[in-house]
Amino acid sequence: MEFLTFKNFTIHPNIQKAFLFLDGTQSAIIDTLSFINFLKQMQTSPEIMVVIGSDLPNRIDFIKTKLAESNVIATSFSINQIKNLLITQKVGTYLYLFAQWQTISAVKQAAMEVGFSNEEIQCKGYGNKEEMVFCVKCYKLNLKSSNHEIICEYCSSLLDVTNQYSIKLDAYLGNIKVK
Amino acid sequence: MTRGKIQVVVKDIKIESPIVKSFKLFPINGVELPRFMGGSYITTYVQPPNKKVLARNYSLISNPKKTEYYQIAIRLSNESKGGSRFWHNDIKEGNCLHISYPKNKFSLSFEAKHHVFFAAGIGITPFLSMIEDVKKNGETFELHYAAKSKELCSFYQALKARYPNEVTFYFSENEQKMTTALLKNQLIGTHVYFCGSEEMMKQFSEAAISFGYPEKRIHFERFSPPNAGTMYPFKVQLKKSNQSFEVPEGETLLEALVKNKIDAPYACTIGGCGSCQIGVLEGEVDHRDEFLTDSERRENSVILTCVSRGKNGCLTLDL
Repeated sequence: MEFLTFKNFTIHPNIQKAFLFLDGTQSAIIDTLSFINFLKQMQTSPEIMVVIGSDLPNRIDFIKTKLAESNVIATSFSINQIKNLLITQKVGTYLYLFAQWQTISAVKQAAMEVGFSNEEIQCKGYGNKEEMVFCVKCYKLNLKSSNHEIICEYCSSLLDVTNQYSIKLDAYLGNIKVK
Repeated sequence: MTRGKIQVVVKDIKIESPIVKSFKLFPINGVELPRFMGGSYITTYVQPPNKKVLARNYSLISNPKKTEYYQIAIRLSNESKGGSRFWHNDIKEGNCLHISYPKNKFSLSFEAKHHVFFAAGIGITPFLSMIEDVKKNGETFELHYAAKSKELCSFYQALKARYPNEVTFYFSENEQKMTTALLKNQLIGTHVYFCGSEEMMKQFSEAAISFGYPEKRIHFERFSPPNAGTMYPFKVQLKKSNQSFEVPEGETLLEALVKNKIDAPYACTIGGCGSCQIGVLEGEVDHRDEFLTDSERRENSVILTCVSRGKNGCLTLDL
């Protein structure tokens, strides 16, 4: 099976629906429009649904004008609202996120909770990406620093930051440091 | 106990359909059998009089929670090489035999929100234990089960009684067809599982891909090796033991190794598990398995002896 590529995205050749989420920032709008253009030029272009998590009416109107014939939904950014949209999607739907990294993290988590797999979610993030460390003792997430060791801010355990990365948790494994 | 095997006694043989019998296998010494996950299979070792031991793989159909016995169901095959015929005609209650520990290459997806099973004929067997696990996990499922007729549909009454809302039957005698359209419009989070004839699994797998399913949502279990063409003869050289022989037409490399008393590893014998993988030192491999990745095949440094062959003459193996 030959996948198509667009910048850093790989696209299933038989994609039925592209569910695009963007946070309404200028970069996200530009990249989303460019990607939609690519999708429309596919031999069999998928159904396109655009969800804008923004409360800026100008931005929303601009995008709606540009995508007159596509299914565009504007929603104020609420994870529950996003989840309610995601849970009704069918297999063959692929999710593309264009947003600040923090927003991507939240939307991705919601998508995986309703059943999207990692293969069905792709992201274009903006801004600084905060990397996290999973504490094996209390299971909370801590901010990663440049140090190989951190102290868990929840349970105060000294953690050895490994290079083992969990796609599901979007975090590196922090083992208890043995002195 | 023979090393790596469990000795069991056959009890409670039941006729499930005119061509399918089920057998309960209890441990000889009364200890609990190892637990297993739905979709697992065992290898049974039976020996017809004056013949060699026949190793045959059968799906476990019993409840994975129950460890007092295992249960298998066997269809009398038209192309039987002796295994199913011996089980149907000669195995009686009270007979003892050895079996392997359970193995699994067709398990439920942990990620799935909903499981959809497609079974044709004896392909129903792995789903019987998988359904038990689905129910235990509090998850949902659908079972679509095709057979020639109700009379030839094994476990029809039990499935209909136990899962009236989840199971749909398709009897070809009544012109009811289990079609690939059933794959469409499944909610995100659904995984699909196929078990049946080679043709059925190919048709459904290809359809799932065409409807946009990612490959990891598609699962299937073979009961026979994929049909990959002529089993032409080729020569084999074993580097370590300094032996050489020919693999004749129609015989697998694994069969030839066993026939020549070479201690070669194996498990599923249908190219799916990788247990029979051997290093290749020289020669080109005609890969016919479903286990190696594309890049592993291109490297040409290993072969799965149960289904793959040597191209262009001679293979030298690290054996």
